[in-house]
Amino acid sequence: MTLITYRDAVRDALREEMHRDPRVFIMGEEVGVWGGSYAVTQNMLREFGDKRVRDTPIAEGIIVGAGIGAAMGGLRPVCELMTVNFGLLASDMLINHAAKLHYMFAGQVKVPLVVRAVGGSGRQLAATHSQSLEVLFAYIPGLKVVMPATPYDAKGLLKAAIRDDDPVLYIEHSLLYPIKGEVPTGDYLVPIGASDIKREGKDVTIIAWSRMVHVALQAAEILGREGISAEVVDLRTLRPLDMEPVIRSFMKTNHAIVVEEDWRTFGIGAEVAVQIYEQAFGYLDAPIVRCAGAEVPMPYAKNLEALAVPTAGDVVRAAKELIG
Amino acid sequence: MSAENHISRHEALGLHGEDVHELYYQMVLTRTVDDRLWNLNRQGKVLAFASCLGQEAAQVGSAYALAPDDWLAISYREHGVVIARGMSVRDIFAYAYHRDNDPNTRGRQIPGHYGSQKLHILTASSPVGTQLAHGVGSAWASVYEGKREATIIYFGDGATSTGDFHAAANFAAVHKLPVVFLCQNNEWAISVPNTLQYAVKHLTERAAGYGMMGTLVDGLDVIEVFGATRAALARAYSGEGPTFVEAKCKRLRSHTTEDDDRRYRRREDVEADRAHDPLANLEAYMKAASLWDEGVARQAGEKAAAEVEDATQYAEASPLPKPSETLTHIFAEVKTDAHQNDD
Repeated sequence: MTLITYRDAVRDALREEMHRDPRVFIMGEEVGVWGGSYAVTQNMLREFGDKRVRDTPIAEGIIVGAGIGAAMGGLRPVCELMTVNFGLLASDMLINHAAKLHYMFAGQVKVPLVVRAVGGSGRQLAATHSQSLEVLFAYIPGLKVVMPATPYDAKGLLKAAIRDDDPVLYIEHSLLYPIKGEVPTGDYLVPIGASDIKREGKDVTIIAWSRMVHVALQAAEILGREGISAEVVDLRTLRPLDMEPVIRSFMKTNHAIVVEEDWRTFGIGAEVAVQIYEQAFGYLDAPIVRCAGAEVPMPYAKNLEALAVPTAGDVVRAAKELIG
Repeated sequence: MSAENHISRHEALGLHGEDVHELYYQMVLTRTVDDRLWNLNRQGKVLAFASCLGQEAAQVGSAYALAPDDWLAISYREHGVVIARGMSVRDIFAYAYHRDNDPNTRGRQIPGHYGSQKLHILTASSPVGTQLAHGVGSAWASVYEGKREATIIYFGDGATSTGDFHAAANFAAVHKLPVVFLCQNNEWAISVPNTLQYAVKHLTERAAGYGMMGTLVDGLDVIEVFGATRAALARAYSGEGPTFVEAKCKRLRSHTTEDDDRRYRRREDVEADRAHDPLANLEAYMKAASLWDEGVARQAGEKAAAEVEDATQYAEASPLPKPSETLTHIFAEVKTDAHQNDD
């Protein structure tokens, strides 16, 4: 095992897959000389050349659209969109095309495309740079949506995404890039569509993904010191959504909190909660709680931005009310 | 034009008399297919589709110039293109009838959105202009793998107003991709005429703005379209980058079966357009080139009618898609875990 950052984990996954498979290439804005807006593809132009690390004109629709064409033509493109907010400019390509072509053409074509984008808030980038839009894409049958929280998962899931025959939207969180974690030295994959228990507990199940996993773990640590044992489930993939570990955990704890950076109304937490109600109603000791983002376009001011995102304190308070 | 000039036009392109007869047959077949599908729609047997009447020369002539390995990114009006590419009439009708044996979509997409890996036809697109993005990606894949292949992208005048058109043209020119942008300008985008679509005289004027060659051709002249497409393909193969070809055509029917152009086109204008018939055009050429006798038209008409009748019977008798497969092919791999939502 080696200790590396989340950023290095994403880069190592790209590099290892490009060495393994000559069909894998990167294209997007600023991926070449600049090394990516979040420095993920740094030095990769030098390592792989401009055929395989391709700067494109600034037009998200064509980055994903050409990626779809290249994928149908037998390549395995990894398209970088800078942020998921700008991904809206490519949403027709993702939703009307990438997600549907395999189905609409009766399995004739595959679209083995990975679209990488940064999501989430926390860098004072305001409303059009800070959104958690995963629900828009996770809603679409045919699209896989992956949101890793740790370096281990980031690397293993990206490698799995690149080898996957379906289109995968892989959303990174900008605040997670510097965090460190252990990863195996050799090749490994983390399966897409498998939730993961990040901390075991018996009193309450806390469900999260991406950066909120760390908020949940922090809350669980505090709760532990106060005698409440929290189990943290990391969804890791939003579609296909693996509820089995969540349900199993809930049957043990009988209490659940969903921590989500996205907006509460119509958010991922609503789907998770209703699936618990559907599958484990008899195990319910109290209503399921959602700690969610405030329903505002994200403000720029640091203090206001901080108020719009769930904190460990919010989760601790919610857990105490739930258990107490 | 004299007969010698006519002969020199197809022979100068290396086409033989048999090629001209084949082009004629494919255009007749295209029209026969189009007419039958339109009638079947009026009978309620085939749902919404877009007619290509008036565009047979632009479609057949351009597709006839392609090599087997070239790729096609198409719109939803390209019946003549897929016929020239070798799709069987049976497959076209099984598709229109949404039957289980349709190799295109098996009941999953509305008629005319052909897609065939076997024929290198990328999936046709419904949102206007999006196939332009897929087409440049396909061309990029050919370059990446060092293959001598080009991609031809079919679209109409309406698509040139989209962002995808601009982004694709720019992307292809910047990366010098082997692309032929084949615009069939039929003068209408549903009910919106060209005067409300663009402010240049010819769309080819835009080519220079992207740094690519633009070629204006008479889309009613199958030989001219063939020649322009083949020249564009030669540029593509030799690494000279994309070419924009504008084929001026007429749209001789409403936009689709769901449209009624009487609401926005004067009848006398439609009648005037009917005089610009690519089939009559080719017939005149063949007469001048001594490639014509009355038997040509009769034989072509009978053969096409027989093919279409056979295909109609075949489709009528074919089974509908299996209900058990409604949820298959959402994802490429089959998940067996019961807790997975998909598949």
